[in-house]
Amino acid sequence: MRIVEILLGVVLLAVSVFTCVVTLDMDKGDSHSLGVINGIHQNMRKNISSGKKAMANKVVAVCTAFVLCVCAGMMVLSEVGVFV
Amino acid sequence: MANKKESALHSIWERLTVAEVKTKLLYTALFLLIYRIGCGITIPFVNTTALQSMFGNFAILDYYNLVSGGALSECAVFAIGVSAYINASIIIQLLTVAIPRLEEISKDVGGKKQMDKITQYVGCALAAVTALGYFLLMKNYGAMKYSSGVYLFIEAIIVVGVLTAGAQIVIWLGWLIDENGIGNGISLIIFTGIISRWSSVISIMENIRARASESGWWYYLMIPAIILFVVAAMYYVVFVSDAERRIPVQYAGKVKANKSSAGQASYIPLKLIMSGVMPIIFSSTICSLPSIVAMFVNPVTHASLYAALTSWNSRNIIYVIVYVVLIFAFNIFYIDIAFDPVAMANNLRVNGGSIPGIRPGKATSEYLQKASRSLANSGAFSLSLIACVPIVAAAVTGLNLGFGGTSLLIITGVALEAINAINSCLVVRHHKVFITE
Repeated sequence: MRIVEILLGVVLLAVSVFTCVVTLDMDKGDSHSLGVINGIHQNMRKNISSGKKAMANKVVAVCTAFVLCVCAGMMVLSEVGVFV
Repeated sequence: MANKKESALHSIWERLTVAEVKTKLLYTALFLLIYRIGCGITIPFVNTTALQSMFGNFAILDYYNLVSGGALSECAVFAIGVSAYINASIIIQLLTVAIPRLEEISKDVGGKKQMDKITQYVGCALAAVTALGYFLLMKNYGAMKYSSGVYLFIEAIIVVGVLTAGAQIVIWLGWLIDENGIGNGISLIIFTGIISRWSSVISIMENIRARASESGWWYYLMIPAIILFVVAAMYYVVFVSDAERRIPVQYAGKVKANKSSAGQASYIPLKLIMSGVMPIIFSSTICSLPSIVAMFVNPVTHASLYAALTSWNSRNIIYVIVYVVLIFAFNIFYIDIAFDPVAMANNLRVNGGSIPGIRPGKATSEYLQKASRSLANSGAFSLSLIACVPIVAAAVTGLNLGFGGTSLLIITGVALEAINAINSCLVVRHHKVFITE
């Protein structure tokens, strides 16, 4: 079972690294999201909705679902004592 | 009075039922739900029971746990949350003043995009470093499954990788809320995290019940007193968040194609709390440095050092004094960096505006500088009050109230911003309808 756990972990790591790369390649919108935190407010904003960004959004959405599902699965298997 | 209340409720209901607002609210709720799900799923190889004992020992971890919405104490996928990105944005913002090359980039055409990119990369690197530090801490407390050999190495890489990816996903969710939802995404994520921690109200009530059974029924009087205190604190924070000094500006009239237009009167709004919660965050971070050092000190072999480091907490009067002094210092420093009176005075002159009774140019910039400094002192006083009153209340009542000044400021700030976002969404919709009809 230890090997299965490690293998799942490695797949999780690969998807995590891929998620980081895709999100780092994305451009954020023009709004400044930290107004409440650092006092800098920018009211004008526009939506960036290029085809490339829409595709990147889909990829990150799939990766997020995968990471959450695999982690939830591993958490349940650990709780029931399969991964000891 | 009743009619006034009814019309206010009707107005809120009317706003929420507009199709565009409804869709945006649904998107926001969906993304926040995904965030909360990620805060509840523990990453592989972690023993959460051992984690709980670690959190009981260090106050600084409680702050990070609050910002992450409780995900840190569960070592969930989204445990790092937005804190690494916030730290990166603060670091880059401060470095822009210190490093001329960064200042040049920020002023270039498209410089903001480049600065955002740099912040993204620094944020990701900080998330990885934070994840590694957190992994080492968990390993020291015996919260990790494998503690030696090659399995430990593999475990470390997987945990750091998943936590870093979690931080990136949270930032991405924030951007999605920015683009498709209502309000500022990252602020709303912090807001959700703080609100989700308010279940500690139940533990406060249990604490009061236990004390009442020991010391007498009069302890139950604490309940209405606490409710009154929270309502008064909320009212004060909303008042302070909205407070601003309005500096009058007079624009000269213009003559165009034989037509002249009269001059216009306007004002420059200078907010009382220009720096947001930054001074409180900075000060609490500096004040909690001894707690951070204590996390890495062995309490058995270095007992006296450990006791000295852990005695530096909010129940110590010197701690509170240092905390207030730091809030004043950071607020003045931060406003000096962020507020540029020379650029503002130049903008006014270029646009034909002037402050009545003040000469354009150097005199205007000096006047604005003086106004911002005096506001910085008043703002620092208000921030100190917001930060210290919950500490003092907790010391007087002996109860952990479960909220601090930072939480109150963020909650009210985000709520006010969300209301403004809904209002501006409605204004844009009315304009669109007006143009198409």
